Amino acid sequence: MTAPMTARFYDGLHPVAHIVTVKATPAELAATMPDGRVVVRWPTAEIEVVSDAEHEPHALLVCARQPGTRLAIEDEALRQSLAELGGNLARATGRRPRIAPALGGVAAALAITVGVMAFAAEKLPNVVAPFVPYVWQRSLGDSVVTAMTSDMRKCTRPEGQQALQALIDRLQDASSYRRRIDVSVVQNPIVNAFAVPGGRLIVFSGLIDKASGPAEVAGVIAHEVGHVVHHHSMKGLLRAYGFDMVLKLVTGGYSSDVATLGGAGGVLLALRHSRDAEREADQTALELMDKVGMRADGLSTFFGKLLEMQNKQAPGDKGKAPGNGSTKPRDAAEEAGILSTHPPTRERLEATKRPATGAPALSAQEWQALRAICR
Amino acid sequence: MPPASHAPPPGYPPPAGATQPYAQPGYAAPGGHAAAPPGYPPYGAPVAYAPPIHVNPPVRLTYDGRVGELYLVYLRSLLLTLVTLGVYRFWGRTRVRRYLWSHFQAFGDRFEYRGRGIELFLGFLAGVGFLMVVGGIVLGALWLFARETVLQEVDAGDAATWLLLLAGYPLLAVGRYAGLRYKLTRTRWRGIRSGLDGSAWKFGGISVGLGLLNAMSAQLVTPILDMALARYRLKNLTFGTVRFGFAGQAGDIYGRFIGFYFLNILAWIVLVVIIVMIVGGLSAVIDRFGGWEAIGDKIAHPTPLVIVIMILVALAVYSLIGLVILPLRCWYQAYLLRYLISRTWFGRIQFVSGVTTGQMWGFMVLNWIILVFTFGIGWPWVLHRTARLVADQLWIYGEVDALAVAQALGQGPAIGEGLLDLFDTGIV
Repeated sequence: MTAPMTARFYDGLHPVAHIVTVKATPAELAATMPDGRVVVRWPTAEIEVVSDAEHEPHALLVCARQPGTRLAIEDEALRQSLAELGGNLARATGRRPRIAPALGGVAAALAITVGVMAFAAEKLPNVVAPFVPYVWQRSLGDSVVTAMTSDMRKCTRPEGQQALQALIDRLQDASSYRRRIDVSVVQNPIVNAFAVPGGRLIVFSGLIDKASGPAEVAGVIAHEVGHVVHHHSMKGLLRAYGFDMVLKLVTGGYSSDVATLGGAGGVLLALRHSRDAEREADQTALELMDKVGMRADGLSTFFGKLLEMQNKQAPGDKGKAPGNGSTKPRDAAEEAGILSTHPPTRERLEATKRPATGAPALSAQEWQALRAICR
Repeated sequence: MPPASHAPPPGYPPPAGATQPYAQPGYAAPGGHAAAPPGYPPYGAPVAYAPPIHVNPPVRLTYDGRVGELYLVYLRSLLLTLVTLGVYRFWGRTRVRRYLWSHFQAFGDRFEYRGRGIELFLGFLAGVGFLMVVGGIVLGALWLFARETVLQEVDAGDAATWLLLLAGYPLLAVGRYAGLRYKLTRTRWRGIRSGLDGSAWKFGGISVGLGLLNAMSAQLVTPILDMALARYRLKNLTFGTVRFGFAGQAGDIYGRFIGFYFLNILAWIVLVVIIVMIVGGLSAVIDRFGGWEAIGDKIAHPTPLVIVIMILVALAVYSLIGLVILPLRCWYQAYLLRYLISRTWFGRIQFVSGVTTGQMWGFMVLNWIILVFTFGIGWPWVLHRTARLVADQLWIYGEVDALAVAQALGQGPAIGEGLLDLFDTGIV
């Protein structure tokens, strides 16, 4: 080294910065005060660089011989010459990357990572869902059933229960699903049925009451069995969880508003999957019913009935023409568009049309027993 | 130079009797400095408050970080956080802090952040462990003594969630104080470590107690709450062996607060009137769409167009709030910040801030807008703006009385920020 170079020396006792001249040899680093006093004589091999060249604009040198003291060096030339001495001092150099290319690289890697994770969050549930241990699925399903039906009366007349279970067993036998599918009927006027994780169906009595015959009930039940066969509820839960996790990681959870916006995106995504799942369950329902030789027009006529119910005039709006003033009949699922859990009902009606042939799903006796399940 | 309106008001220095010990108990004279320098009191002796040395032109903090570099640090940390499913965030946070701290300078010397990611990670684990132990004890007690009563009504999972929410509010204040202590004990300037005395639990107690009182009194004791929290933090703030001093009093800011309080009510009334007028002006439009009923129906079955319109309406309402309500809040907050800073001293150094209402609005409202519209990716930009604001608006009068300050004893807490990480979403 020829030209002496300066650093700031902190003695570790008081907040004073001493401007010192640094001389470094392969054996020793010495720092001299302007008055000629030598304040630092550190063996080069024992010097440590505590600063972090990527993030800090100065090099901080410490030595265990003088605990608490440090040399702060900003002079690039001095840092370079110290780094050339090697050993620990190699880290004294300033490593400031060129921003634009580095940023570009990191941004690209980030985009790829987010893409891969989003893809995994989207696709992995399809692979993983069937392998979630049955007991977990079961307890999850049980908690859903409890939460949903705790304040509803259970309909448990054994004849009706047997008739419904026999229908489900036939459909399940024909499917790839290898466990028994349970069913519980609850008293509720709403026309609906659900499949929950663990292969459990919940049927609202409104469905049985409003159905014109066993074919419609069988169609809806086959559709729910379709959900069970494809593990749709488990896939939906896993996907929601995965998306939430990716979102949390990407936004770092800094702002609840960002989380709300992202959550809304997640809901839209889940709804799209929900609509796809409905289509898949419709198709599987038809396949299963065809396979056991069951009359399969019930699903389609059930959709017709749904549309009819939506277009029935409420007592309040007798002056208005049905269907929002237009001639087109109303279809709530279609109007809700991207916010709907189900595809447009008309589309499903068309897609599930079948001839009225095949064996009846339930005998007349069984059908009567099912109608009476809540009595 | 700070504008005259932000200079310390007449009546400064603070009330007589405010004494500021230069050295704390446990402080021994450093080796080689057996006697205090001429003109200074002996080490260890409490010293009466000395008026700041106003003869010097003020010194400012400088921040020479660049937003591009900060983005690189942040995005690289984000990438590694994603790849490690979140575990890296403690190390990432440490990197961001190292960058920010080391780009601040005062009197020509850079700040230093020497915290480590592993400390934050262990703190996080300790926080989780603490919550599990406390939650386990409470749930166990519920199961033992209230199995027949409470647990018949509520699910154990619900009870745990409620417990977390109830505990979260007080624990957030405790965590904030402990987190501040961690950050300060890892901060060095001229090789001397900073610190925070006092008890995080006591701070949490003040925060919760006065917070409840404030809620029960229609927010009218806000200045007392603000002042109590600031006082506890500032009077416990240390650099080396010396504490900061603070002489703020709630009475001084009540005038401004009462003004803000009633103007705020007025502003809400104005806002409601504006909204009513807008809605009234739009009644013709609403009628064309078939009245409120039809609009309600549209919201129940929204098409994408309706969603866009709803978002636009929500943004319009937010902007109205941002334009009518928040400037007033910023007017009070900027005043409060200027007041708190001007009543704080360290040895013979005094601080003054010139932060204006407009700057406070830029800090509170614009930063929020940046974060929301960039989906969180604007975070480094927000940090950079904040760092620049701090550096631009803090004036330091006087000089460091170097020989009166010695190195702090001990190392501070071994692990950091567990509760803060669990209950707060801040990253720096």
